[in-house]
Amino acid sequence: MKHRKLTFLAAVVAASALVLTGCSSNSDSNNAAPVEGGDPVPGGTLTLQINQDAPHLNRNILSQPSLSLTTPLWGEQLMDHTADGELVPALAESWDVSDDGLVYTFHLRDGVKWHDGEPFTAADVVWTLKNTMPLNPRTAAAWEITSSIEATDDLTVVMTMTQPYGPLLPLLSGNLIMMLPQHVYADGDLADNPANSAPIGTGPYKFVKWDHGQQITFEKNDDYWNAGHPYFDDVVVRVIGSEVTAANALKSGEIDVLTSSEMSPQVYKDLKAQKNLVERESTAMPSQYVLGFNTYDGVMADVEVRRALVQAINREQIYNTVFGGIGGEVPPSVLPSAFAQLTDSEDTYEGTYPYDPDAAAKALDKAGYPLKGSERFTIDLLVPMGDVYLNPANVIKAQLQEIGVNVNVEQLDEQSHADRVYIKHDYDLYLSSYLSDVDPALGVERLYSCDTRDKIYGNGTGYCNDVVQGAFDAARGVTDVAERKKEYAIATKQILADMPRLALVNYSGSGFFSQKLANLKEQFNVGDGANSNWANSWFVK
Amino acid sequence: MLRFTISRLAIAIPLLFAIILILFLMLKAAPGDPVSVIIGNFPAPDEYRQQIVERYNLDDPLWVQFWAYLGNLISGDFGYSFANSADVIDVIFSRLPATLLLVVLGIVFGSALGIVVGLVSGRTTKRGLDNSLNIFVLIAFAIPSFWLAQLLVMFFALQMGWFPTSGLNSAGLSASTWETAANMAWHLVLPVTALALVDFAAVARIIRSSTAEVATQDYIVTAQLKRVRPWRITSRHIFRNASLPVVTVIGYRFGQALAGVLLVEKVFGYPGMGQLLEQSIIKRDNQTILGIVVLVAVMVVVINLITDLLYGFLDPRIRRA
Repeated sequence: MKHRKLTFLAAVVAASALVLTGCSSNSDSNNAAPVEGGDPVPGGTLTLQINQDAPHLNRNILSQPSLSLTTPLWGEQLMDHTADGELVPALAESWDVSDDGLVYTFHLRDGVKWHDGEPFTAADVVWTLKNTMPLNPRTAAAWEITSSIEATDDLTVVMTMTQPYGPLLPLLSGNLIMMLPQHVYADGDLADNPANSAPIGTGPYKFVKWDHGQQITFEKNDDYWNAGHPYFDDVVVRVIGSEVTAANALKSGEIDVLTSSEMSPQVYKDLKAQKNLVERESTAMPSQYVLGFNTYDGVMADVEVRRALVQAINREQIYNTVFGGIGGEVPPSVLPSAFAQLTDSEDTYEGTYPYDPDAAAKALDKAGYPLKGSERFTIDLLVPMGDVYLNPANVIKAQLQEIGVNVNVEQLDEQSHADRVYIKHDYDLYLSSYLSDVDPALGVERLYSCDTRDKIYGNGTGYCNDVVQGAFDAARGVTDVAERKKEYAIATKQILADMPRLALVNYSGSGFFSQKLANLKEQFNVGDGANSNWANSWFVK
Repeated sequence: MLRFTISRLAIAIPLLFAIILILFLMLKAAPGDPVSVIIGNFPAPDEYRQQIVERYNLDDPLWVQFWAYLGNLISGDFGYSFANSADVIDVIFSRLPATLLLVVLGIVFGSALGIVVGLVSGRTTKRGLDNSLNIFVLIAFAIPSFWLAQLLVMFFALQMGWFPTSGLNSAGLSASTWETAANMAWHLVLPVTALALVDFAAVARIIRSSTAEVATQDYIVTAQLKRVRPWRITSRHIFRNASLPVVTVIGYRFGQALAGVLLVEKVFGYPGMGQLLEQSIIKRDNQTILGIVVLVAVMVVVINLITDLLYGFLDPRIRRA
């Protein structure tokens, strides 16, 4: 009997030793310094990572996050934009906009070849714009006010609008509409074309093969118009679903890049401590986490209650505790900071509703919701699946508890969440996230517009205000930046007064790169920050 | 033998039927529009939605729907996966080989090692050796495979750098077939180890106890008195009799391993069915989820059936009982 006890003890000791080896401690050593400039070294296989496979690879007709990474490798658009939002040439060498903002003329680059060897011409551009703009949810509105798209010669495309449309050039440089070869797509249904799964473009890398669920392989395009580029022989895009697994693969050098807009603070800190990695802050479109109020009915339909609640929510605390205070910001106002060039407004959340739980409590007393015992009322807060939603919801619950508002947090799968919020309006508060996109007319607007009420992932709050709608319409209808600023300032003021939504956090995540990768600064000057064409980087020897 | 086979089949077939019925009822109980429940969260064209209504007889009474559902499954029609732009059956079969490779290798290596350790542990007269092996087996049995998987990654991949952390292959385009195979084997070492350890422990425990039991039988004592060499007693007399329960354990482990492999795949970013199932759940690709569950259920029932039949074949006492 004694013997058995000893055996058991020994087993316990051995098992604990295993546990301990599992918990290694992290030092706070910093990442390596990036290598910029120098003589390019051709060769090698660049390995990237996406977290899920896509049904196909044609970004023009399929909006899926993992495609933002693979698309710039093979596909190109008329223009690109730099991190500052400045337009730079891609397949169009230059472009002119008429004074009335209605006619756009694109002058195409000469001598560009598709991956199958056929020449790239204006006919391809016309075909692509005509056939894919109506199908992409972001460009569909622009398509509706397009009166004609014509090739005036092999290298010139003229696009005419029925009314000015501010976001057109940002859209055409926003990695949404990649030029597609007309000779491949002309026959049959666009959605069923095999080239959607084996794309043919003009980009620096050619598609080779797709091992579903495992990896997508590209090889160097020797006929790339930008002579001398790219430098890597192959690019392999691996599918790794788990963030932790991907981080391990990065640490061991099996992948060279890990960018994520939802990187958890734990993984971030772990990667930050690695000596063989370089960090680059993402300038990608941030995901904005927003709290929506039900303006249809219930307690939240009372504007005084909404204003009071906003004063009781401490967004700094949410950002610091839930998001670890990294890779983002607490959005100051209705327009995310990414649209600084369009923001002229002095109005901010903090300025209008400074954090003050006591004032919030008094406002609720005044609005007719006094404390009964320890509680004023109970509300339902609906959140989609995922800790990235549940954690902020729990912080909000705790914060509102302090002013006597009891919050019932309900986590629902995507379908039920959408059904309860957008269709049935059966909620008081809901949490969602959205991509702020390349222009406020595409991202922000749909959260407050009368037209997107009841549309899934549109405006679930039911808010509809003539002043706001008028300002949005006006801002969309001009290309002049100063004019647009003025209109967005009007909308911002009204939205802040009515508070149908509170933007909680802008989170863009971060990117970590192997220190072997050279010239990242130039590489990422163009693109949407996290994703790039990898034609300008190489492996240091 | 024929009667025995029929009696086993008589259990297996209703079991499969019951599994499919339960799945069907769960699908019916899910909230929301039944077409969306089947195709998941995809903006499918109206024509396809209509096709679904017809194919699954959604306008008919429940029992008619069930027969239609069953008929589709039996004819191998698992539906279409919007998340993968392909037929569900093709999607699953594109991932199944990778998962089976992992599961089978895990069971083969685990069982082989388990048999050796079990025999040594059961036959040895050295208490110290027996105890050490016992502790080792106990630990192996207690460690969840996904956790072990993480420890293996941390130590052998990240710390020592001997093996890759994830994936099935990293060979570039220029690699030859031989290089690709070697690269794959290198990738398989850690995930197979993570899976094999539990199989090893299960088999070692059974072999050890049945060896000890058989060793006290009269015919063994007789053989010993006849001065048959000990190695011959172990291999010819003890192992043959003691190994019978192993057949059951391995059959049973197959189902367990299929469940365990889902988590191990996640840890290693392994491109198998586990990852497919996880992605399908995230994307609410319900037809693929159902396809995987039905297929796994069929595999487990069939393996158990084979195990039963094999057991009866190996041990005449069973089939005559």
